[in-house]
Amino acid sequence: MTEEEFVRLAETYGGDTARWPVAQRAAAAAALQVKPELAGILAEAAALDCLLGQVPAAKFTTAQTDRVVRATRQVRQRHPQNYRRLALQAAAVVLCAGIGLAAGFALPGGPTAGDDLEVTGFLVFGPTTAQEDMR
Amino acid sequence: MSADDWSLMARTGEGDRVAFRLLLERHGPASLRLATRCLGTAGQAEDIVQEAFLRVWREAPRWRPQARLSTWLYRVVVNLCTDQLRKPRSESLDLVPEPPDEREDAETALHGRQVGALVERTLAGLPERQRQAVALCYYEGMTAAEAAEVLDLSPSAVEALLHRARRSLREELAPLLGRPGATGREVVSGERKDRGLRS
Repeated sequence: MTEEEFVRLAETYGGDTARWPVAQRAAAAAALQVKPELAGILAEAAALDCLLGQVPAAKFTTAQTDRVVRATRQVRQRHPQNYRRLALQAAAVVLCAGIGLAAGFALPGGPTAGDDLEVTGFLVFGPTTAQEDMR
Repeated sequence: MSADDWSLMARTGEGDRVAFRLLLERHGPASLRLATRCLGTAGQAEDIVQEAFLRVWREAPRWRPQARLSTWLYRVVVNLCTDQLRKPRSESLDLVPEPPDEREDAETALHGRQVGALVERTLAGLPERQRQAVALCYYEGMTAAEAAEVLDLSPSAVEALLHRARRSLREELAPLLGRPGATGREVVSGERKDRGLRS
């Protein structure tokens, strides 16, 4: 490790080489042995670390925990869409409708296909001239 | 993500508030510290943490363990802080960091809480991204690679942020360091210049 690299790492990660990237630590220790004056760089970086360590840390209290847990009562969880279940439900509806129609046509006295077309035509196009005349 | 976080998230996804509370107790303190440092003040950090954990609660049923919970959670906290800081100032006056007191005597500040307060204000004065990198790496002990994942940056970009942040801090806090902002490089190469205490 070059001196430049050592200084750059100290100025990035601080004076404790244990906090440097793992891959650099052995090289840093070797550099320190070769050039003991590099310890001054670490000491200087450690002084800044010490100052940073004096910033008070915010405390997360039990009251805050309680507040967040209480707040969950107002929030609905988002459950994943179960597309397979939705598809099965849709298929069941279509199947039931099909069985119903088939049974309707099959039963004696039920509507014929012609009746069905007539009703559909009435709903879509309105009454025919003959139907108007009947009124 | 540890196995415990996995199982707690699974239980939370089933509506188990006891499991959710355990997650909150485990990750709440770090989330609050992170929010406080990203915002620069404690002002609305609690609200940010609450919102982040309500997202945990809401999304838990759909949680897939593709990433560590803490990484995802910290990303949410950082993004919420960024949104908060981008709101018009009139809505968040308490988030505006107090400017450093130029009259503050360095020797007096060396004592008690004043030092911490001064360093905190100096940190608050850093650019947003630098502050986030410092909070994650120095205060939460993350590696540059882990912080990069949270910040959606490359590890080298995080290193650059840390380097710039440290340089600014060293210059701003030179009176407290007992020397006028010299860099390590200057000490090694004998280039140290006396820049004088901040007036």
